[in-house]
Amino acid sequence: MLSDNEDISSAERFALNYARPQSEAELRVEREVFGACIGADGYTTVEEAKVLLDRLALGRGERLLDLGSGRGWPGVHLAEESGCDVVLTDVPVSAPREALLAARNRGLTGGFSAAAAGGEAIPFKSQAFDAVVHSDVFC
Amino acid sequence: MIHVAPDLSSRDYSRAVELGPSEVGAREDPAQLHELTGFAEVRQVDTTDQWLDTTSTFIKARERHEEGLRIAEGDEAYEEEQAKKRGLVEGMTAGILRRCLVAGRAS
Repeated sequence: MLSDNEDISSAERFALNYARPQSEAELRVEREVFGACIGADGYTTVEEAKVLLDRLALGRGERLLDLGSGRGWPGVHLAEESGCDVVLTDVPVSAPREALLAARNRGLTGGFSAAAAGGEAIPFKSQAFDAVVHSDVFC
Repeated sequence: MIHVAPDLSSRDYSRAVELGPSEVGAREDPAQLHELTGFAEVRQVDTTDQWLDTTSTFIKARERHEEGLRIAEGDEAYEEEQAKKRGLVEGMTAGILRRCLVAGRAS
């Protein structure tokens, strides 16, 4: 928890928030807004994720890059539903790392991985992915 | 993708930048930006109405759970987040902030 008089930037606050598990109050808010605890950090609804799933039409063996994935929504969901592999990227990496742990705790065994990377300098070679999503990276 | 509405006056553009997320300010629409980076067959669907619903629901849900959120986030962060979301609603309602889904194919 942050005290009121700590003078920190929003980026630092973002990092600190990601570094701690979601509180019960935050999980309740997420359930009330999205209808489920999905690891949402932005505004992408379950319905919008379904639209992405349809448009991307990914399949097993294909690779998806989720830029600015936060806690893994919707990248993990897209991989889970389509069978594709997903690489989650964000700065800091604590959020996608948490998403990977959550996916494994749910028994998901697909190709999930995470990397610490911002959008300006993506550490992957060209043509490494079949699709890219970025969802409310600036929110 | 959250973006500034097209063809705004200087005053409205400044207001949109002020109310929107800190990194949002491009005057090009999202489809144009994706085409500039090499995507083809770019399709853009406006989702501002859904975004307004989601953000309004967020504000109310956060008010209902204010006590717990203040403990988790801290008072300052709680108030900042609520103010930010209210600013987004103001921007959407004024027609100067929008959100859309953009899909394109690598070319």
